[in-house]
Amino acid sequence: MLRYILRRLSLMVVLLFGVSIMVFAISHMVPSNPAAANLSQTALNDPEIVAAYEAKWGLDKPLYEQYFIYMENLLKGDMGTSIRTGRPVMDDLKQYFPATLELSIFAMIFAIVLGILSGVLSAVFQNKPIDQVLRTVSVSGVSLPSFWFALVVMSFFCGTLKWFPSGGRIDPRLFNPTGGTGLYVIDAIAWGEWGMLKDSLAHIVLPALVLGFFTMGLITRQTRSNLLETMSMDYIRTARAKGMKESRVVWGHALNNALIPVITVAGMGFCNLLGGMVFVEKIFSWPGIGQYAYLSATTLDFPAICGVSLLIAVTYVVVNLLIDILYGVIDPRIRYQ
Amino acid sequence: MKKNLLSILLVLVLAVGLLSGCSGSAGSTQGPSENTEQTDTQEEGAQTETPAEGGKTIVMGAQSDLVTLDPGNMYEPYANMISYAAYDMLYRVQSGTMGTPVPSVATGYTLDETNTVYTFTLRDDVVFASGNKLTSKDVAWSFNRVLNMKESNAYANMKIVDHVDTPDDYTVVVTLTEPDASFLVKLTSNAYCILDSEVVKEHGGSDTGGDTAKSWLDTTSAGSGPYIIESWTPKEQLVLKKNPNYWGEQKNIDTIILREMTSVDAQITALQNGEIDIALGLNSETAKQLEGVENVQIEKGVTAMLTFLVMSRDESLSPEMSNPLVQQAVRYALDYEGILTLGGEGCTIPLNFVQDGFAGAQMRDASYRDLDKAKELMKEAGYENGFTVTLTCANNNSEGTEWTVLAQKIQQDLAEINIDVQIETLETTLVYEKMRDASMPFYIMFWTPDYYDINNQFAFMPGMGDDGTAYGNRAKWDVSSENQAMWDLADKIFVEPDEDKRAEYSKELQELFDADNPFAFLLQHPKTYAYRTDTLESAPYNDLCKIQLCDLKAK
Repeated sequence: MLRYILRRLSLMVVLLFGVSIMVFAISHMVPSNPAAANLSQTALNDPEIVAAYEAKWGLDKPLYEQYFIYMENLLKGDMGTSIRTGRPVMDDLKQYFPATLELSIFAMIFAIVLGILSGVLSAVFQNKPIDQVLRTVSVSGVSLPSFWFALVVMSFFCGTLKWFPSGGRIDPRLFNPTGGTGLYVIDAIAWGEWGMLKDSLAHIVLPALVLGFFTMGLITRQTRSNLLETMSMDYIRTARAKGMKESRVVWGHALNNALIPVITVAGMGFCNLLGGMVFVEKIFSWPGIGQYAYLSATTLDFPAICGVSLLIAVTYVVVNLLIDILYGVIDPRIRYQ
Repeated sequence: MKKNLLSILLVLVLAVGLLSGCSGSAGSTQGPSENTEQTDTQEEGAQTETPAEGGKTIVMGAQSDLVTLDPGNMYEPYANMISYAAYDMLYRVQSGTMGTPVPSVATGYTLDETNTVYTFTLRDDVVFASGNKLTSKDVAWSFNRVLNMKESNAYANMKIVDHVDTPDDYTVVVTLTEPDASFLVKLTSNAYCILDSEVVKEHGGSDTGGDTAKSWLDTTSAGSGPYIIESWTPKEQLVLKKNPNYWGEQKNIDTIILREMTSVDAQITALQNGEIDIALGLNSETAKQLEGVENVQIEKGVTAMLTFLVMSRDESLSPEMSNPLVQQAVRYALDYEGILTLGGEGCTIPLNFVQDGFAGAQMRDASYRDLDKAKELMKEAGYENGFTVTLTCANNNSEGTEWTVLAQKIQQDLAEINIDVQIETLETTLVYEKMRDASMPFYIMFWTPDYYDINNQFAFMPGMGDDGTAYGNRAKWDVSSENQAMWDLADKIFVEPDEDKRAEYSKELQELFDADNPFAFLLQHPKTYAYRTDTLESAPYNDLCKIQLCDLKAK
C-alpha cells in the first residue's frame, strides 16, 4: 500500500507539470493582455507606462521564456507574484485557501452525514411518506441552481427570520483573527475562544448548507439505491434468519457494502464543490479561492491562474488518493499493488 | 488493516501538510480577538489588534476591489476612500464638491509667470502617526517615489511633475514639465499622498527606484491622516483606527471597518439587521428594497462616471458607421428619455465629454430625439435604406446599469432609422484589448476620470499616435483642419488658471464638439448608497473618495 501511495504521489509531479503547461498555454491564448485589464484607461494610452508595466511583469518576453522563468521559480518554491494584487501568489493562496477549505469541509460533513442518514431512512422506509419526502429533498438538491438556492436561503434565514448573519466569515465588530491555521473554527477551538467559535459557526452554516446540498442529494440517492440492492442479498436474509436485530442488519452489515459506491460519489461531490464555490462565495461574501480564481481569470493574472490551478490539481489528487485508500479499508477484498 | 490505517495516516499527514502550507504563517499562535488591547509590534501575518473596546465602531459593507493600500500603486475605485483617511496631501477635495481642491497640509501656494513653478508653504504643526514631524523633505520624497514607479497607475497623475525642490523645511517648490491648470486637482489624488519617509525607508521605500515598500504598506499606513490602517485582510475586512497623534480635530469614531460584501442582497440584509452601518454597493433599483425601512437613509451622490457609445472613424471597420453624418444621425435617433429610465433615478445626460460638476458642463435635453432629422442625415449620407453593424458590449455595468440592457435599447432605437444592430457580448478584458487595438466599429464603454478636472476629459479629443488622446486613438479620430478649433480652445482650458474663463472656453468647445464627434454620450450615473441613521449623523459622499471617512460623524 505504501508503495502504491508513493507511486501515486510521484505521478502527481507529472500531472502538475502537465497542468502548468496547459494552464499557461490556454491562458495565453486569450486575445487580451494583462496591461489592458489592470491599467487605468489613461495609463493604457501612455506607451511609457505600458512599456514599464510589461517589462516589470515580464510580459515583453517570448511566451516560452515566460514559462521557463515561471517553472524555474516554481521549482524553487516561488509561485511568482500576482499581477493583479502585486503580492506573492503563495501569500494569496495562504490567505484564501483556508476559507475555501473550511467551507468545503463543513459542506462535505453536512452532505455526507445528512446524505447517508437520509439515504438509509429512505431505503428502510421504502415507498413510505418519509421516503417520498427525502426523495423530493434529494432531487431538489441535485436540481436546484446553487446561486438561486443561496439567495432564497439568505433572504429567508438572514432577512426574514434573522437567525444567521448575512455573509462573511466572522463579525468584524467583535473579531479580527489572523495567524493560526486560517480555519476560524479550528483556530477558535485551539485558542479556547468559544465566542469566536460560536460566531464562526453561525457564519458557516448557511453557505455550507447551500454548497453541500447538491452533494447531499447525490449521496442520498446513491445510498438509497445501493442499500436497497444490498438488502435483497442472501447474506442479509441469512442475518435476519439468524434473528439479528434489524438496526444491526442495516447499520452493521448492509451499509458497509452499500457505502463503496457512495464514497466515489462523495469524492466526485467534493470536486464538484469547487464548481459551485464561486457563486456561494459571492452571495455569502465568503473570501475564498473561488472569487480569487474568478478575479484572476478576468484580469489575466497568469501567475495567479497557474497557482490556483496547481493547488486545485493537488487537492483533486489527494482527495482521489484518500478515496482509493478508503475503498481498501471499507472492503478488505480490495488491495493495491 | 494496520497497514491500511498507516496508509491513511500518511495521506492525512500529506493533506494536513497541504493545508498548513496554505494556511496562516507557521508558528503564529497568537489568539483571536475579542476586543483586546492594541499591540503595536507584530510580525507579518500575525494577529493584529481588534476593534476598540467601548469606542464607536462603524462598519461599511462594500465590494471594494482594493488590491493594495500603497498610495503609490493604488487606483481602484475605493482607493482614495482609504488614502484620504490615513494620509494627507498638500490639497484635499472640498467636501460636497466634485473635485474642488482646498488646502490641507499646504497653507497656500504661489505660481510663477511661466505657470510651471508652484511654491507651496506647509503647515508646521503636522505630525505623522509615528510622531515624526511632516516636513518638505517628506513631500519631495513621496513625490519622487511615485515618479520612479513608472509602471504604476499613480504615475500617470504624477508625470506632469518635472522635479521637486525643498528650500527649507516648510517650503516645497514643484516644477512642472508644462503648464497644467489641473495640477491642484491632481494634487488631491492618492498619487500625491505624503508618506512618512523615515519610516517607509526602513521598510524598503526608495525615491530613486527599486522601491520594495509595497508589501509593508499593504499591512499598515505611514501617514498623518485622522486614521491609521490597522489591518487588512484582502477581500475580507480592513480596519482603520483613530490616529491618536492626529494634528487636526479628533474624530468621534474610534474604529472604521470596511467589510467586503460581494453580494448586494447581503449588504441590504446586513444594513436592515444593523450588522453594517453603511451599504455602498446599491443602485437605483436595489435601493428600492430599503425604502421605508426604519433608521435607514438612502442617498445619491454625484459621480463622474460616463457611459457612452464609440463609433469608430475607421472606414475599414465599417464604412457606414464611420461616416460622421451617420454618427450624428445616431445621436438624433437615440431615445434619451428611455435611456434615462434604464439608468434609474439620479442619472443625467451630459451633452458630451464634460460631466456635470466640471468646468462649463452642458447637459443634453432628454427630449433631444428627432427621428426625422436622423433619417434626413442617413439619406444625406447615402444610407437611407440602412445597413448592418455590430455593437460590441462587455458583460459589464455602470453603477448597476447593465450594458447588455443598454445595447438592446440602442438596437431598438436605431432600428427606427434602418440600422440593423447585431449585439456581440464579450468578456470585459477582451473588449478592453479590442478597444486598445481600435478594432471595433461600434461599442459601449464607460469612463471614470483619474482626476476630477476637465483636463482629464481631453482624452475624448481628436488625436492619434503616441501623442494622441485615449479615445482619439480608440475611435481613429485624428486632428484635422476642421476640428483644430477644438484644440485651440482645449489648449487654453488646459493652462488657464481662472475657473470662470475655463468654463466659458469649455462651453464654446462643447458646442463645436457636439457638431462633430464619434461618440454618443448616454448617461452620467449617480452613486446610490444607504446608511443607518441611528448610528450615524451623516455619511457625506464625494466621488473621488466615495464616503468621506474623515467627515463621518457617529451618533
